[in-house]
Amino acid sequence: MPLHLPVGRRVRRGLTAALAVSLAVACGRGNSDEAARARREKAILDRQIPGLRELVELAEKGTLFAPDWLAIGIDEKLVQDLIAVSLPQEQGIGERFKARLETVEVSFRGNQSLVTLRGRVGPKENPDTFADLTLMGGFDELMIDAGTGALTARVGLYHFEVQRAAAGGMQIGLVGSVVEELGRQRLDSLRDLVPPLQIPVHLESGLTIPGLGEGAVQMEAGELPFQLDVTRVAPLGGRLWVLIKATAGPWKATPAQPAGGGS
Amino acid sequence: MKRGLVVGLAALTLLSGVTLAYLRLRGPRLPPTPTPQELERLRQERAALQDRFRELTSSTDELDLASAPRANLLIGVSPGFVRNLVEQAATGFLSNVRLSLKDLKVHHEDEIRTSLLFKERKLGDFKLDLNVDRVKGMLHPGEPRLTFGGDRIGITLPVSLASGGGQATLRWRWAGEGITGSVCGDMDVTRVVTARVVPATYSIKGAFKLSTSEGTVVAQPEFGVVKIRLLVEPTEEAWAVIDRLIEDQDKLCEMALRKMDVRQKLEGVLGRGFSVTLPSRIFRPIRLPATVNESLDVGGKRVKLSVRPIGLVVTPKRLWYGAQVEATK
Repeated sequence: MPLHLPVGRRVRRGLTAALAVSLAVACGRGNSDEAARARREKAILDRQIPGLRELVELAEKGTLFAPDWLAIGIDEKLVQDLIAVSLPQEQGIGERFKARLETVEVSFRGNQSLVTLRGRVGPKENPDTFADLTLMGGFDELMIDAGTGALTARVGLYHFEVQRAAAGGMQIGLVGSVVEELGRQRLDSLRDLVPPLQIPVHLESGLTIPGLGEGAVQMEAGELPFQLDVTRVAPLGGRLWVLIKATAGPWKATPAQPAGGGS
Repeated sequence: MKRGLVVGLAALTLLSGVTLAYLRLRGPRLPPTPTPQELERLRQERAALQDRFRELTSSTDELDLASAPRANLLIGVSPGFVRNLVEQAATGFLSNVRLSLKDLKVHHEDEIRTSLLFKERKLGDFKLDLNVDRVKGMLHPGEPRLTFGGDRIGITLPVSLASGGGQATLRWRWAGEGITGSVCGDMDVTRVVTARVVPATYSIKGAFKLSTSEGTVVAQPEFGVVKIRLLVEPTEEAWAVIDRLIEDQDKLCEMALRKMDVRQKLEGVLGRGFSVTLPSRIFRPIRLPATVNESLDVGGKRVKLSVRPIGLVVTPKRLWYGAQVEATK
């Protein structure tokens, strides 16, 4: 069962607005660098403030952390490197365009997870013509795969910018078409451009003990199951903290397993 | 009039269609660029929330981050969880342990003397061999007691051997001398009797040492050689078999054999018990549930990671494991 970050849910509701903000970049209305910066900052603030409100609320209630939770803290630079190894990533946008992401920056400062991906977008049949593409998002879904024990986070996108590249020569009209196409496709369709982040921590489902079959002392195989539930994900002090409610037990014998000599 | 209405309706429909098509083709509406005042208000709101958050969290280091190793990947576990894990695992290790012993041998021999006609005389020699062909018992762990000290968790675990039984072969040889020799002659009797395990409680003491291994924290068992003294006794049914054997002799012989007090001799020998060594493999390393991976699947590519353990820090509030992880293409 994935844990959706509450911030992510709120941002999803405001996605249309965030998307529209970026359309202005190419359409000539309020299309100065200053206006683009203002829209980007507002998109970040719109995401950051509800997240902060929630952290403050939890801290006021004293339920931000529980002492018995398992805590996994991963540094922003490591997360950045882990996403970077999957780049470049390419994906078509509608029939005509193709986006390619090349670099990533990750920040867990200011109590916010901020992922900025940069690359280019252009016509599929003309690779020399392109515009700069910036996607912004944050981690909005985190889950433990019950089968493999992998801890996976997804980047939810909430803002994009398409700007005429200094080199590349895409016509302003064409930039507008890209933006319109992205508008039609919605940001969710670009989700696959950003592969899920697998946090390099494996979570065990239990402690398994092989039995002792022969000899004077025999022991049945057994298992001590763990119940691990991701309870909170908090970007704090340059780290993404995954807080997991962990309980163990009760011990159960697993007589169905063939008892061997043990290891 | 009617024709005019139809034309009007058709024109209206066409106009609506064109408007809808235009709205659809032109894409989403553009919102206004935020004003500097709006941005400033949002910045101030953010700053106020950040201040409030710092104020609420700076006085209490709930995660005990100050003690954590300097590493880009940290795993922190509460001592309460570790305690619970070690308690349950250690109890679990011993909850389904069966002792199954075969061919336990006991031998005792002695001579029997008595005062007869103002003189001490030898009645004869006896040899007693008890072969416990097989005996089985189950261990039942009690509530463990744990003590924390640095990276070691001491444990005292009471274990009871509450049930168990088996079969034994008793061989009793008697070589009479003098009167008993002529009355009883020599005897060599073998009987299969039942035996049972004497219930007892043992205290197993040891420790689990916390260390890092293969990307996680492992509590390694340190129990040394754990021995259990298993006490076995013949059942009442077995004593009845021996009694019947004595009663079957004539009176003088019976008196001589009673003098020997087989029961007391056997109890004396069996009272020393049998030492059973629990294999060290019963106590297993206990791995904590989170492990740092050495490779990952990223966007369909297998990426090898360089993982350098930085250290293990144990504090009363948290047990920290830190690793420096590097991802390279």
